Amino acid sequence: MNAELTTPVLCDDDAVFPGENWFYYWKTSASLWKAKLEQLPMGAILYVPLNWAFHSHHGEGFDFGGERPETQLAKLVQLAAESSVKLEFLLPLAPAPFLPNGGLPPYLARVAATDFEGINQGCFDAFDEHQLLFSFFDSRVFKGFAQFVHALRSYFDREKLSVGIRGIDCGTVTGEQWHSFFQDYSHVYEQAFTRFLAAKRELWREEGVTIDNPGHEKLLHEEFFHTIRQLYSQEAKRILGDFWEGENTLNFLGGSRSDFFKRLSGQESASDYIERSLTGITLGVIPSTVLLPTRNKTGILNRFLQELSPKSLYSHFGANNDFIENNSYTPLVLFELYGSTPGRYESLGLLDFIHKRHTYCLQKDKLEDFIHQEDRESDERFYIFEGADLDQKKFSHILRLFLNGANIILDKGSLNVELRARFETFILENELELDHYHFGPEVSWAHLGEGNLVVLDFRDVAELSPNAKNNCWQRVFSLNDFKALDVELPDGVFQFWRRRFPTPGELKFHEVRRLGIFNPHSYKHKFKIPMNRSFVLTKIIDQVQAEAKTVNEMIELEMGPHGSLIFEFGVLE
Amino acid sequence: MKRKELILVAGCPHFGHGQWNLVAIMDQGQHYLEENLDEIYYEAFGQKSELGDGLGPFENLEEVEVFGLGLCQSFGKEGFRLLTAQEFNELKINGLAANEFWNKVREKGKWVKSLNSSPRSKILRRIFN
Repeated sequence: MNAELTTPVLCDDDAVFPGENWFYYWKTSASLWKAKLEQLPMGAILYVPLNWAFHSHHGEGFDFGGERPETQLAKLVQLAAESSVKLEFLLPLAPAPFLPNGGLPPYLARVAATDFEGINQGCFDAFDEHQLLFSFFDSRVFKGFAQFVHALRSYFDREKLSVGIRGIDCGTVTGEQWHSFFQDYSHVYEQAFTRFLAAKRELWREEGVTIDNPGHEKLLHEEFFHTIRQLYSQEAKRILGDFWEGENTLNFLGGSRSDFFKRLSGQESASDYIERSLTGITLGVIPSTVLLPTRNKTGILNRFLQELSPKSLYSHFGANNDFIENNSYTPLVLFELYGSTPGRYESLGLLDFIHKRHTYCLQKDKLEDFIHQEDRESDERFYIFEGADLDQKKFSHILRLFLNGANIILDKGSLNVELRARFETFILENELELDHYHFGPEVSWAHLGEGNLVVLDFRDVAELSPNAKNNCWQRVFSLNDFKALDVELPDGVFQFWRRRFPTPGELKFHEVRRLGIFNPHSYKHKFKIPMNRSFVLTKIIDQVQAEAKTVNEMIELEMGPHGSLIFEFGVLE
Repeated sequence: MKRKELILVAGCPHFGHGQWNLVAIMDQGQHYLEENLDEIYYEAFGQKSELGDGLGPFENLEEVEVFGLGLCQSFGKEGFRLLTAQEFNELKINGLAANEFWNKVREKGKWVKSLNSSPRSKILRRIFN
């Protein structure tokens, strides 16, 4: 980790405001709340995680101000309103690593949650203290959780509070995946799973179904995990009613098992945290730094976090978009990938193409979420689908999206016969002309208004050489007016793109994009970024140990150790 | 830590049917090692490590110990301390501080001494062949 010249000293504010505008109300006296809130800028959004154990220490009823003034949430809401701060409560729906016992009251913290390899789950908090996480598969925990949420709802009703509660699933990104701390392999989990399996077997027996697929047990574990995880979520949503503001998934930096060992060894690295934050963004997961000690949130990591602005992502990734203003930046997404076949997009060379040229400008989503989300972004992103995942309803949804002006890439190779026929009819009904190209595989392209529909057989792409795959995707994305800069950076240097709508003074631009470049390592890098005519460089800001100059439609960059800078571009129509 | 030693933590993967994985390998300077371990495993067993997040599978703890000795020779260590997941979990308690942890690991781990601690190239291939 990059050491600063002066060692930051932990002050009371760090304990109360651990990061991303979070506020730990239980860490300070209620008499100081007003002074703390007055430090925040007017209009700021304050996220207040609910500490179940703090309201239910003895297990005999719930305290919301009767015994300890620090449990009086109504007072906090009132003070926030007086300070013109918008407040939102966060309700953990999984073990919360920033709280003792993962947030469970001591009388319910009985069985430690264990990971895949039998190691008790836990991590170091911002104060370098280890916090163990306990199993949420214990039926007593679920019962206690429901009682707490009921008590919370009654309290909010009684106090006539008009403030939202957002559910948070807590976990961490490792590799390319996000793992919830809810995941557990303890004996309590095993017992519950055994009961689930017995019920399933009974059902299969009644239905005359025989299951002898060896991979089936793993699928059943996944089904059971999601069922129980959803149980917490649905219960909270049902009880909280209008107070419920939707859910976010959080990626706690410093919360993984390898982080545990690295924290033990003093080997934390800014590079690691940056990479995992950005990977999380592609999975729709918000990074949280509340587990990181203040001494680590300095230098390059601090500059990266300033640019990433995790606190702005709660609304962006959440169900409620009330707080997204037109002139605020959101992560740039050029590709939205949907596919259930493991490793599918890797085998097509598509992820490699994106990683090399448009790193982290992608989002991987579940098709179920796609269908349920009615308002799609109308920017130039490509929505990419595997044919095998589609049924009539989903297919119709995709075609409607194309008619509304979206860019679609569709795998026709694995479409079933009915959907192929449906596709042919759609082309005829809408009098679309299909242009055919040979980019290795045959590619068909139809366009209507702003919308582009590109159809190809993914199996043909999979058979190409790595170079041919790359060329194929390059040509596919060039079919329409794809506005993006190809930015290939040296290994270990990170890029992060954001976009926003133009302000009234920028109306000649279609949108404004920001490119942050971060070198967390101690060696220098020199490289070039080719410009194109759609991009006008308007600003270079926050240059630290970095030099940039424009030469012959190229930006020449020299990044020093731990250097970073941010470019702002206007994108022309 | 007095000796030049490694610390190994072994866990039993959930779908592993009694097999073991190495979930952490730390060295004398208390550094968590993760670089190149996949390659070392491949060199030793001729197959990719693929069971969970750790390094493995190993059929039993004896196999973990043989691999640990190979690591010691490869890295020039005098030996290693081996903790199973269960032993490790007993140390992993609420409020644990990093420095206390290292002391407890030394008390708890099974000490396995390497007969030859001088580093040799491609030693693992020789050991496991």
